[in-house]
Amino acid sequence: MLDAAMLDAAVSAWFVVLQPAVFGALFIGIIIGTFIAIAPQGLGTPLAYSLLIPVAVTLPPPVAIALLLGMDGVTSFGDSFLPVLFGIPGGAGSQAIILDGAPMGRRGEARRALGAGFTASILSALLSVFVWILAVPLIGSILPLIGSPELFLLVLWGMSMVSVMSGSRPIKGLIVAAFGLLIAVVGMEPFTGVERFMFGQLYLLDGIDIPVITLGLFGIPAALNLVVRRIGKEQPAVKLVGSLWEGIKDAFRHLRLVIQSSLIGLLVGFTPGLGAFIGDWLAYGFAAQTCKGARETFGTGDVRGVIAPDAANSALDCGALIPTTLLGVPGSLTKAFFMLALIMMGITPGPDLFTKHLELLFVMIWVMFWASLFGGLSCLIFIKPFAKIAELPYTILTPMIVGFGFVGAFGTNRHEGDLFVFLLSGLLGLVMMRYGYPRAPLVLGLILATLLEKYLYISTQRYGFAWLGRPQIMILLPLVSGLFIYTLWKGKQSMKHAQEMALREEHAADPPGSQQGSSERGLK
Amino acid sequence: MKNKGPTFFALFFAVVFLAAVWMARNWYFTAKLFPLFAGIPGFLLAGVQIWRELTGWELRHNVSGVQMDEAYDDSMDAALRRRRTIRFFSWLVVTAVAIWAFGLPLALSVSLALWVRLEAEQSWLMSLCFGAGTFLAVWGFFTKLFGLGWPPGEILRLLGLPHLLS
Repeated sequence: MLDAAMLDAAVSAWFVVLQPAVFGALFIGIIIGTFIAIAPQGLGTPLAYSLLIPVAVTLPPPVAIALLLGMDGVTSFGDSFLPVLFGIPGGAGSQAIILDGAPMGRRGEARRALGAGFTASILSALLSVFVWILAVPLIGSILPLIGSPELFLLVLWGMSMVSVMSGSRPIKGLIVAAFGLLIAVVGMEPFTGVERFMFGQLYLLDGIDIPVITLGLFGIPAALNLVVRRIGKEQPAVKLVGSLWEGIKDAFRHLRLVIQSSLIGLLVGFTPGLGAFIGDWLAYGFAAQTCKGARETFGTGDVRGVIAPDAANSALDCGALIPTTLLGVPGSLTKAFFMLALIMMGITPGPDLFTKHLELLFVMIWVMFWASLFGGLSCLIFIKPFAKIAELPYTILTPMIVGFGFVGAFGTNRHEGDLFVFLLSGLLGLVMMRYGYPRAPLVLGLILATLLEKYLYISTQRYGFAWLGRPQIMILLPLVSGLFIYTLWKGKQSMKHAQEMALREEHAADPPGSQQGSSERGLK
Repeated sequence: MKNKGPTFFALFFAVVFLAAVWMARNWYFTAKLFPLFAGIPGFLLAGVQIWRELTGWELRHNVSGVQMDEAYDDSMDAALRRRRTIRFFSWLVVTAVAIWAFGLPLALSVSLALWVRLEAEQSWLMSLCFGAGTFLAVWGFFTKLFGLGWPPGEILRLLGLPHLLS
C-alpha cells in the first residue's frame, strides 16, 4: 500500500498536473502524438521524441514530462487509423490490427472498428495506470537493496532489447549497438579527464548530443521517404462509415478480452526486450485461441481481432514505463528516449527518481492517466478530422519535419557542429536502412552507454571487483541471465509467430495500399 | 565483387572499431574499459559481417525475415530514387550552410518557402504562408517570447548586421 509520503506525493502531483502550464503542455503533447500516429507512414514515436526532446529539456520538469508523455501516451490510440482506413500498419504495436481492422473497413464498418479499438485502448490504459500505481510501493520496498552494481546489471538487461530490435539480423543489430556505445563515449571522460576520440575538437568536449543524432537518424530518412515516394497523394482510403456507438458497445461486450489483452500488454511492456512489436501479436494469437469461434472468423473482420491488439498495445505503452521509471531499465525504445529526456533534465530514472523526485514520478502517472483519457476520447469525438490527417500529402509534412529537425538540432547547443552531425546522422540512417542495419539498437546503445559506464565505474571504484560477490548480485545475476536468455528465446518465438501472422496478412484479401504494408515495421 | 556497398559499409564499421581499440589502448583503465568493451566485440562482429557479405551468406540463407525497422523499398526506379535523394540532400546541405551564413530564422524560413514552391510545386501563396509561418514560429516563439536568441549568421556579422532577425 501507499505510505503517507507516497500519498502526499500522489496528491500534490495531482494538483501539479492540473496547473495551467502542465495541463497545456499535456494537450500540446496529445495533439502532437495524435498527429504523429495518424500521419502517413514514415513518422513514428521515436521521431516525435527526437523532435521534442531538445525543446522539452529547456522546460520545467513537470511541463516537459507532460509534453513528452502526453505525446507518447496517445500514439497507441492513433495507431489504429492507418490499419483500418488504409490497410497499412501505423505504429509498432498496430501490425496485428490490420488482420481484422482492414476487412472491417472494406466492409463499411470502419467507424465500428475504430470505436471498438479506441474504447478498448482507453479501458486498457486506465487499467495499466492503476497497475503502475500499485507497482510503486511494491518496487519501492526493494529499492533500498539496489546499489550501483545491481543497477549496472539491470541496465545491462535492458541491452537485451537489442536482440529483438535486430529482428532477423542479430549481427547487424549488435554491430550498430556497439557503434552506439562507442559514439556515446566521445568527449572528456568525467572521472579521469581523458579526452576520448575528440581529435582536438573543442566541440566534442562534452560529447555529441544524442538528440541531434537521433533527429538525423530518424528525421531525415522519414522526410526523404515521404519525398521520394510522394506519400500522401495517391493513397486510397476506405470510407469512414459504420456505427461508432456499436464499436464502443463491442468493447464493453468483450470486457474479459480487453482485460486479458491488457494483462498480456502489461507483461510484455514490463519485460525489457520484448517490445511493442510482439505485444499485439501475442494478444491477437491468444485471443484467436481463447475466443469462441475465433478460428473461423479471425482475419475476416471480427471486431475481437481489433480489440485484442489495440488493448495490448495501449497497456504495453504504460507497462513499459514501470521498469523505465522505477528500475531505470527502459521497457521499450520509446521509453529509452523518455529516459534520455529525464537524464538530460538531471533526473536519473530508477531508485533516484523514487527517493529524490517522488512527486515527479506521480506526475508521470497522472499525466498518463489524463493522456489516456483525453487521447482516447478525442479520437472518438474527432474521428472524422483525425482521419483526414492520414491523407496529408508529403508537400505539407516534409517541410514540417525538416523545419523541426533543424530547429531541434541547432537549438540544442546553437553550434554549427550540430548541423554537421545532424546531416551526417541522416546520411548514416539512410545507408543503414539501405543495407538492412536496424537503427533502434544504435539509439539504445547511445542512451544506455552513459548509465552503464557510470554504474560500472562507481561499482568498481567503491567495491573493486568484490561487487560481483554481493548477495544481491548473486541473486540478480542468475535472474537477469535467465531473463536475458528467456528474452532472446521468447523474442525468437514471437518473431516466428509474427512471421506466420504476416504471411497470413499477405494472403488476406488485397487491402488498399497493401504495397506499402510490408515496409513499415515496429520501432517502439 | 558481389555486394560491394554492404561489404564496404561493414568494412567501415570494422575500421572504426579497430581504430577505437587502438586509440584507447594506452588510456587509464576506467577510460579505456568501455571503448574496449564495445570495440573488440564490435570489430569481431564486423569481421563476421564482412565475411557474410563477401561470400553471399545472407543471400544464400535468405535473411529477410521480420524487419524491425522500415525496410528499404526497392520497388521504385533506382535512377528516380537516386535523383530525388540527391536533390533532397542537396537542399538540406544548402539549408545548413544558409543557417551558418544568415542565421536560423531567416535561412530556414526562406529555404522552406522555396522548397514548397520549387520542389513541392505548390502555389506562391502556400509557399509564402509556409515561410512566414516558420519565421513567426522560430523568431517569434524563441526570440521574442522566450528571449532565446539564435546565433547571428556569419555573413550578416561581416556585413555589420549581426542581430538582424536573429
